[in-house]
Amino acid sequence: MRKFLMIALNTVALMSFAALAFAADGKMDAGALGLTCLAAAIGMAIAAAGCGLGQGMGLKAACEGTARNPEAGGKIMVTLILGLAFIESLAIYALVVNLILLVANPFVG
Amino acid sequence: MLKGLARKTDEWLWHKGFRASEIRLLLRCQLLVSGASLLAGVACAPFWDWGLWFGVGAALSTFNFYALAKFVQGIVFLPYTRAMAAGLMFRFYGRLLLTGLVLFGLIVWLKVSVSALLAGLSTCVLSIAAWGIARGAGQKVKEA
Repeated sequence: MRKFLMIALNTVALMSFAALAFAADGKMDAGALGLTCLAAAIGMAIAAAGCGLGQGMGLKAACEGTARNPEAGGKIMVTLILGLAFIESLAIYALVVNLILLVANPFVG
Repeated sequence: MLKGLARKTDEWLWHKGFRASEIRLLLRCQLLVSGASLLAGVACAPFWDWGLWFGVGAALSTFNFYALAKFVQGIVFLPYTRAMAAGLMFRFYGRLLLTGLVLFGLIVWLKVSVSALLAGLSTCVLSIAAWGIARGAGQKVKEA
């Protein structure tokens, strides 16, 4: 699993650099555009998956904690809200970065 | 004046159903920060639009935090019915869709300063982190 993850991440990194190299002359050809779209899609997918996993794990732990100790429900809820806000902001950052890559790419003239 | 504004905001949040005092405090700070930065941004907009987009980012971040807090409180406190669950889900995904559309419009159509937008979006995370640090420091002082 770890090996697969390393290979996948390396591939994504190489694709991102390739898109930048293609776009270095100020115009983006079809290949570079395709790679950029692919990188944005994969990036958003990874961000959504990571944030979804994180939020799910947080929610699961909060439900278990509240079920075991209902008196601590208020404190757990506060921590849950803050944790979810932190995690969700990461997904919003990923969306912004992907929008920049796709439509406001600073490397494309 | 600021104390009165903070108290009124607190009362408004209480009436909206925010019973946890920590969440009310954070939301109050966020509302005041985003309101102040929006006002300052609108005032400075003719000669410096960075502030305006910072304010817009802060407002978007505050809206997201407000809706998320309301969503979690809804899950915890409201009695479960199918209509309640459907309404919460609809509002949750509607908010995400709205945030995405607003960000798309700002970045693609209006071509705003992305650094300003990101700085504004980070205000929520920063205020939560500052609150956590302050709370941790307070606890250490109490323990000592």
